[in-house]
Amino acid sequence: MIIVILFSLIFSLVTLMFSFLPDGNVLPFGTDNILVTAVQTVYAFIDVFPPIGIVFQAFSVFILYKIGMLILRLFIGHRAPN
Amino acid sequence: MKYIIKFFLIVVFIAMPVAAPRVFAATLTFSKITTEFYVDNAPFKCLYGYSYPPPGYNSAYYPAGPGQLQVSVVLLPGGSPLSDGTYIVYSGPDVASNCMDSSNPTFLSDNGYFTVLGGVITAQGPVSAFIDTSTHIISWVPITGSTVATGTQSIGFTGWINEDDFEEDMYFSFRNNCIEPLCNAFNDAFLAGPIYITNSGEFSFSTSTDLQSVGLHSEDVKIFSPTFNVFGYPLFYQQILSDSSQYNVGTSTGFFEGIIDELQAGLASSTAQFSQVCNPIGGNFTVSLCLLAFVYPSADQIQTMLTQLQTQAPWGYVFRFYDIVAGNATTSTSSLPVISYDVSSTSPFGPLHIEFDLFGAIRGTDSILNTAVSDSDNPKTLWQIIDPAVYFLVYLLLIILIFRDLTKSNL
Repeated sequence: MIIVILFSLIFSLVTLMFSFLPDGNVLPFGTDNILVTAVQTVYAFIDVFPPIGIVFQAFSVFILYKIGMLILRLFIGHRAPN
Repeated sequence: MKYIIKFFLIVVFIAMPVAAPRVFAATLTFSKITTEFYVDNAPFKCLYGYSYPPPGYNSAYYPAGPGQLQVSVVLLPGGSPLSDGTYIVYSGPDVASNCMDSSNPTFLSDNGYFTVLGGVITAQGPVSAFIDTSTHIISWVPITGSTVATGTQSIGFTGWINEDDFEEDMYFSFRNNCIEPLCNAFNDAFLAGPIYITNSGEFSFSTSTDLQSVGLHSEDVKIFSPTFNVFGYPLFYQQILSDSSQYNVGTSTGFFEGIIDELQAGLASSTAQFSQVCNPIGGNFTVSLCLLAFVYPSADQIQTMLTQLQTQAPWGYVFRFYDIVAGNATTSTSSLPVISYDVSSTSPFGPLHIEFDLFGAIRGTDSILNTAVSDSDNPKTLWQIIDPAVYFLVYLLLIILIFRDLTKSNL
């Protein structure tokens, strides 16, 4: 049970630490509103013309690939494909 | 494990001497109950009140003295005199609009009343009403003991200067700052004064400030009156009133009280989980889960932590960004506007209704993309037919793009 108590203490600490940070439900500096409007407009266009959605999807995959490569490079350095 | 235990021992030994006096002081404050009812404007139809601290003490009756169960009503002097009638005293939320709501659980019995005749309080029930004309602070913004969100908030107070106390050149100073737990006198500090008071009676101060620190905040007001004038110039001042009010920013309690609360809740749910899965005669006995319960805290606590991680900065921003881009930020996607125009009946072309619906034209029921173009038993729309081809083309381009990127070729 001592392990449970220790884990509980760790989780309590992490929870408390984060509770003092600012609320992250809304993006700061008004960017939330801008991004929601932009993305919703894209979705509205996708409703009208689905191929836009596929391009959008492919673009997201490409961005994920680029971010993934960045992270990979960060961890394995020069051995990662560049 | 050894290092984890060491780390926590160090944290506890360093933090306890720092936190203990504050925690102790907070406990002392909670034993104090002061109640003040006030009127927002006169003449008025109802009164409302608040208690400080804690909010849980906001019950129907307030102790007015040893052995007495009475409500003291402090009336704000000034404004128009009270109109004649019987005033029922409510204890309710701090918003005036709710104070006539008899369904409020904190509604007093009919006996809580006082009667005004000719501007004078003539009769009263178990309510002792009096008009406080002494020099005092009537109300605070934010309300004492209340909790406000971080961000731009109004702070200030309304006070009353007794006619006999009023002097030329008297002034007040105002201070607002965060007092605990993870802040000091410089956090959210706002200082004002000396601000000169020009007349007796009601005076107030209000401003808005950006509250950034979560925790207990304090507002302090000091009123000074000149005691020694030379040729009309005040040389020495005497403090005639010092009052303060405390309010919370955010929902957080003190850091260490918070840890204890969290830990208690976590252990309680862990114990409940333990007794559930490790009881051999209970219906939910599972050996593997029971063994796991020796090591892992309850799922509730882990869930609480994960929720906290997902909603607070900086990870909250990452999750929010994902939600927006994935289209989960709002419940429904907006559609493009329909352009329409009505030609009036007086026009040679009218009456006529012209409508251009891009959505309907391309994606609507009988639109180009949704028209069935096959005569077979399983007809498909144009879009259903070309959809795989579009997917193939776009993703082929994507693969080529990634391949080019990886090989740095000019393919």
